[in-house]
Amino acid sequence: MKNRINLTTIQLTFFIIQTQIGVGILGLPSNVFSTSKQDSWMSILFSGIVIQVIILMMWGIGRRFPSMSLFHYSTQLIGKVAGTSINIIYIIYGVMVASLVLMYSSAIIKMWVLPLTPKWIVIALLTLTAVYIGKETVLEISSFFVVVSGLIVLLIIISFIVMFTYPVDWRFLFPIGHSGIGNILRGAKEAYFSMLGFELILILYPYFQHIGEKKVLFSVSIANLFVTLLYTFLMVVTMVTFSPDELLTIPQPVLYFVKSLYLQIVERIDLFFISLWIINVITTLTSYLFLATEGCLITFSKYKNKGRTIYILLLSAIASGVALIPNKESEIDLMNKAVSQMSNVTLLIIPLFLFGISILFRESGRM
Amino acid sequence: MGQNSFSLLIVLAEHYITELFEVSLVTFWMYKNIYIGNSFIYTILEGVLAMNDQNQNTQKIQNEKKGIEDQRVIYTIIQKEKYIQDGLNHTDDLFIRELKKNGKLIKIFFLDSLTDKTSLETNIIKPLIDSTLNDVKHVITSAKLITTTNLDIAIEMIPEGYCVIMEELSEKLLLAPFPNEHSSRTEPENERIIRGSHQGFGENISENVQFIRERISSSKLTITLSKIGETSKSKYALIYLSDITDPEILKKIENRISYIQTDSIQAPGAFEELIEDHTYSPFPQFLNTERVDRVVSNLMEGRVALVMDGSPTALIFPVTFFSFFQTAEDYNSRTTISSFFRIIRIFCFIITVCLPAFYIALISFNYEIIPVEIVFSIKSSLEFVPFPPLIEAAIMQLTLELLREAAIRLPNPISQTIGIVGGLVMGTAVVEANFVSNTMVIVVAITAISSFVIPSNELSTSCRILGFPLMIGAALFGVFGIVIGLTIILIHMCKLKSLSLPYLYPLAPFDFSALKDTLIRAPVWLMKVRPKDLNTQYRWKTSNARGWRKDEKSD
Amino acid sequence: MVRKCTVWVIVVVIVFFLAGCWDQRLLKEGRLVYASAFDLQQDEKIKTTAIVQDMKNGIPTNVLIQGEGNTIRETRMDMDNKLSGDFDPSKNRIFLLGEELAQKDIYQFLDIFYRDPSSSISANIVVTEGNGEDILEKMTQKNTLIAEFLIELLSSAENSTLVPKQDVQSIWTNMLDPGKDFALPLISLKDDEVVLAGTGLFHKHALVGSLTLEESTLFLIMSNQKKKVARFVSKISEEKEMRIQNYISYNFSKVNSKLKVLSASPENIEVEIKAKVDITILEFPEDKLSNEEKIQKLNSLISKDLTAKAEKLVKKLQASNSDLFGIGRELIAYHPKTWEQIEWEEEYPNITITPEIEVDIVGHGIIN
Repeated sequence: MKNRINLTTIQLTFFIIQTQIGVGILGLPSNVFSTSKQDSWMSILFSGIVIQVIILMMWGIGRRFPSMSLFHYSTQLIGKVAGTSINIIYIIYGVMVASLVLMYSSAIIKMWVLPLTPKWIVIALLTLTAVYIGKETVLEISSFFVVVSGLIVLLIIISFIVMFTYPVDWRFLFPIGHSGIGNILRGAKEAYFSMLGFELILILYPYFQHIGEKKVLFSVSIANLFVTLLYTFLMVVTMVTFSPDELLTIPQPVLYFVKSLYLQIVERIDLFFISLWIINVITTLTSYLFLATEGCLITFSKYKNKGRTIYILLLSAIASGVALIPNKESEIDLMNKAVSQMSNVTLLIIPLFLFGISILFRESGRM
Repeated sequence: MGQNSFSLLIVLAEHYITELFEVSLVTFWMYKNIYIGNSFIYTILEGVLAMNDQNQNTQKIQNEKKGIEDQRVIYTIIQKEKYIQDGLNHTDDLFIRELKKNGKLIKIFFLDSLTDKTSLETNIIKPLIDSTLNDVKHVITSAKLITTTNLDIAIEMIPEGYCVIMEELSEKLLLAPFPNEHSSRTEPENERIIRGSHQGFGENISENVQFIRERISSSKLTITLSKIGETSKSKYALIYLSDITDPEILKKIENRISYIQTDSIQAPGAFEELIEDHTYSPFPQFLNTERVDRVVSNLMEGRVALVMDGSPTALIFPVTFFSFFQTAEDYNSRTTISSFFRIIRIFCFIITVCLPAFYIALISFNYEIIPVEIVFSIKSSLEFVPFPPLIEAAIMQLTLELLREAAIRLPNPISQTIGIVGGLVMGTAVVEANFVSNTMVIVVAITAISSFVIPSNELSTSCRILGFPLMIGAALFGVFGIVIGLTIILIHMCKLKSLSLPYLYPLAPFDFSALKDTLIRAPVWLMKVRPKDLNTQYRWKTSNARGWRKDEKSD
Repeated sequence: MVRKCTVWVIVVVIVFFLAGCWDQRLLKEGRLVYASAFDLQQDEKIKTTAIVQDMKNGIPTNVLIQGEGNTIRETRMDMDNKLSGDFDPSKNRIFLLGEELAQKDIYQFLDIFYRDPSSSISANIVVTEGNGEDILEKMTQKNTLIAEFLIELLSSAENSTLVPKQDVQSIWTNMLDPGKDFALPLISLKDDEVVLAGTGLFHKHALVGSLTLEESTLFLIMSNQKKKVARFVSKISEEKEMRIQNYISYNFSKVNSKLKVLSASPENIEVEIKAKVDITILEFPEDKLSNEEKIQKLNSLISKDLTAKAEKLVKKLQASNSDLFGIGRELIAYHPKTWEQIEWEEEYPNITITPEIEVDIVGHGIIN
């Protein structure tokens, strides 16, 4: 083998990280805090562990079919019709998540930066940018993701500055373990939905199979570990900067604590923060559009000559169209609920089902 | 749960072990290359030995060795000729002069670009034809003459300006040096440096090839001369090192060039447009340079250079984005200093692209970002300006481009006047007439200066142009517009290819070890291997050059 | 294909331009407010006084503008009607709260600042004795740069540990925390001059009392909030002939204060605040500070004086029911069971708080 540029572990790790970090990062602390109070950080850690278990399961299927993605082996395992319908569920799931991301992000952008600009323009700009990179191959997408991952470091630095300049009160973290296991688990569920994105391993596996099955698991686990720790860190920062009742009234606490930062030269660092965050939103959007496009390409391979660009344009048009419908936050929340229900199916039930079948019938795609 | 974490631990451990294994493999690979390098040096040493010591004994040993090395012993002159041609990779500037003397065929091999043909004619060819003496050695009137039987030595000596005289039915080879005279030194106007070589290319292709040959006296340096243009028949040469450059790259270039069917090509610029990957991209994908040392160092990295008759500009491909931030001087000054300037250059690139847009976003969307101490002075300078910020910035940027265009073509003394009239007089008047605000003049001036910091002229122009769409984005959506604009630019750069190799290479795809020569300039002894992207045939560059530290530490 | 694309791009760009820049807010057109005061009038209507800076012949001048209304936003609308350009409070660096308004419930009035993304929640906020409007009016007549003057007044006071460092955001955190109250700098007019009068004590959302500057420094020392310097004067004797001889001035160089809950049973809550401070003598006419015995004696004298003052301070805080030390937060964090059983509002004035300050002289300037 020559030293050709190829997909590496780093790229897989950042692919997953960039998908996991998205809209959720801003609202997560507030959402989790509303249920598990001062033990929220435990909820996040716990949901990280749960996700690790799911990742192990997904990896378990993936390694049985190293050269195939979910869209391939679904038909192989349970037949043409059932497999195709599973694929269609995943395609719909990808589009739904994409449009949910668009809904939340456009709402936050409108709230914080551009209150008067029409929503469709914000959505169109985000979608077009995502399509521009999403129509490329895994190599290009993942190298773009790696480049912009440097910006996450900036996010962390800003949070650190907040911790050192702001009058934080560590006592807000106490009493530990007082909110009860039930609440912690419920909070973990909230956190879990902000950490979605690891399911991409189902379709990325074949692209990264050459790095070795253990390395695939390793890099996805590292991504999950990083995201879990990052969220925990942000959770702790928000908790020590805001008093509990205050935190409940702020829907985007991460932005809010950056806003209250006043450095000698600049004010409103939240704008800077939101700019970095927009890129994370675009990467998440790209990943899900990519998921759906990949699904379309494989499932409707009869019309493959149409190509990636057409599919992704079509899918993103649907996603942004759906994203334009809701007007109020409650309507977005309704959509959120629907997607959460759906993610239970796509993330837990279907993979578990496929995993079970592949073990039961000793079916595998290995040569 | 315990089992899960346990398995994760195992995976982790395994990962590290494989990592370690890979490291050892790389070192092994490097040692192998050193070995190759050493054996290479060994042959040269042998040659020198043979030259100094005409002892029969050594000759014999050598002959034996040769026999062992390549089973067949070369007899006929045709075979010898082919051997030399193979050794020099059929480079197009290898000339062979044949003549007959006393019924024996004599062949003279020399490199067209390096050899002084007049003295070759007077000192060798003419005497050979005129004289009736049998022994060629006594006919040649050259001051230095080396006799050898080893063809490999001949191959090594030819790129140093020697000509090789070969006689039919004789084992002996005669080597005589006829190096070309050095032409006068001309420093390229647009790539001046303080410390380092001041040699620039001329406009004659063989002269330019000579410059490169002088710096890389390797038999592996290959030159392919061709003509292009149905009518103009312009000469161009592809230059590369045959044992470093990836043959794939070469094949790709040759294939792309083979599609060029045109009446005439005047300059490398037209070449560039015909064979580059993305014509509509604002980013230059091939490097233009007039500096010999720059071309040479790029050749040594495994790239390919194209020189054309009638143009002092060499075209280098494939290149990455960061090649445009490197200057020849970087490798000549101290590592910390050149690293600092590298960072400054990249910073200036960012400023050139973003600053005007950022300023527009500030004063027309989010002026609460501006510190309270400054906001009042900016506001008071803006008070009477009639234009919206975008128009204001566009006016100033366009004026700047006008000045630049005007100053380029004028002779030096007049262009200075333009600078004064345009820069000083107009700048002050425009502000005093309240057409443009003071701060905008400052912003545009900083943008202009930082754009001129970028070493490559093409890149500096294109990033000033890139500022305009960003400015529009900023005027429409403020910070959000800038972010979207920058993201699109970044995506474009990630997608961009130079000869199908990633343009933003050490960043995307990410390669930590290659960052040593991009964002910073690490010490030369740290850059032990060539970057991965060019897929060179061997990656070894230096081995443990600072091994002497160990020797000196011992006492 | 490419030509078609270009045409489309141009069309889209033109459409954007025609539609206009929705959120554009030109700096040129904004009238920046630098300082504003909020007062409550007789009929509970709010009166906002704002200072807008203008350039007149190259010299910045203040323009005072007032508005009335039922909400802060209404007063802003009122003021906007009186101004050319857009009234813009996003660079407002200081807010003055009138005494009457502060005594009501400041949270109700500050809500708009937390809600608006462009407002400056890192601005300083102070309480005024009397009406804030009077201070701004007085200063406008003198034509100084009001906002700058006030901010510098505050920041120098913050640096010398005279008043706590607070901004709009940080008091929100305290307002919504049941276990901790806060204090704001208090300024007043004295002989037509604006002076720092002390610190206004808050309980929940309302002003309940005030501390003198000395007390305020002591409080900051006891809660580990010493800034650059913290100068203090203690009386150490009664009998000396000249008044100045009875006093000693010093600077706190190192402060280590600990709050400890000794007993946390719901019936009997005992808290101890123990501060160990290092001081350097700034002024002591008696000199002879090289004597170890003398230093020991001074140590105990100053400790006694400080502890007595601290006791008085604690009494005052308890009397006005302002939990500045955050004892409630301590209970929530470490004694949650007790916290659930008690009604902190009623309990706080009755708990036992014993302050103790231990002084150690570590320096004395360049003479002994």
